Amino acid sequence: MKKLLSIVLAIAMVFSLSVMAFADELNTGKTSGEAVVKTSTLKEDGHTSAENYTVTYPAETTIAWEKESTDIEYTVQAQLTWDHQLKLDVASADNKMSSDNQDDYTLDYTLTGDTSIQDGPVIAEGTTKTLNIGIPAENWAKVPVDEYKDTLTFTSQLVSA
Amino acid sequence: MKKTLALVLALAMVLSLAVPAFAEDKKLPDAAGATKGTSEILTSETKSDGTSAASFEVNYPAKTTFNWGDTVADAKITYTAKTHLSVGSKLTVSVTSEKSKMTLADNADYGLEYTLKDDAAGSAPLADLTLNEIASAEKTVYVDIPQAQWDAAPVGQYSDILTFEATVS
Repeated sequence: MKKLLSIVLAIAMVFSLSVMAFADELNTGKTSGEAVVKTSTLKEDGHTSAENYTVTYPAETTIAWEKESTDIEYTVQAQLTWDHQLKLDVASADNKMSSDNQDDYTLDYTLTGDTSIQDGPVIAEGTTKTLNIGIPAENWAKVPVDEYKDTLTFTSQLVSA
Repeated sequence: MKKTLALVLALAMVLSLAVPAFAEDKKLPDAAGATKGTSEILTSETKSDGTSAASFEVNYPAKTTFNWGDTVADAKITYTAKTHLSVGSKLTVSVTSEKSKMTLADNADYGLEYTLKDDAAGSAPLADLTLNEIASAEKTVYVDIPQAQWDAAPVGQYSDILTFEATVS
């Protein structure tokens, strides 16, 4: 029993000595020292990654009849690790606007501008990108007046820098 | 009292959470962490200046002069129509005369009675022109003045008014 107790106490003493290795102190014998400060890549909760990004885009854009060029703006912001970049792609399935009222006519359009971007690891908040919807006059002239619609898909992902 | 206050505060909190759902913008990643989202583009049925996108145009001569004795094949008026209307709409153009009689300006005793015809042979009465949503057409109206009318009328400048009416339905 005594031997066991002495072993336990010895181990406790060794652990207490190791604590001293993680701290430092200045005294009359040591008047300067270095302390390291560093950041974690985790937030204060200890498990959420600090890496973040936000892409903000309109839910819906209405285009006036016969308007040949319409800009759609979206914003991006990112704060990633040094080896990451944000990649964003915007696309339509077939670049055709169709009507819920009839199937005979579709309105063809072009989607140009910032349809594919890759940037980072830091993208300043409020960085604006612009898409353009192009519908030539001859395309407008071919279709009866109606509400034509299409869906643009925004796809974001983190990629290696 | 405390329970009531707690309920009110809880409702206020829930309502404040609902506000972002009404915002115009969407975000990626979304609240569920999805990295893919959709944005809808749609056309308006009004132009940039606020006017209706639906339109049609009918062009017809303000005045047409026939030669004395012209037959139905030669006494004609041609007009054009063009449409860009809403889905399912159509344009109907009708041409009518109130009196079907050309008269002298200063003598009501004489006149040239006529009928409007659809063909150069004068065999069919004038029909309305009907166009679908996107269409254009040219149509001729034949003015049939029978020879007997020409023969019975003193030579003069007879005139009448034709009314062009366009209806979208």
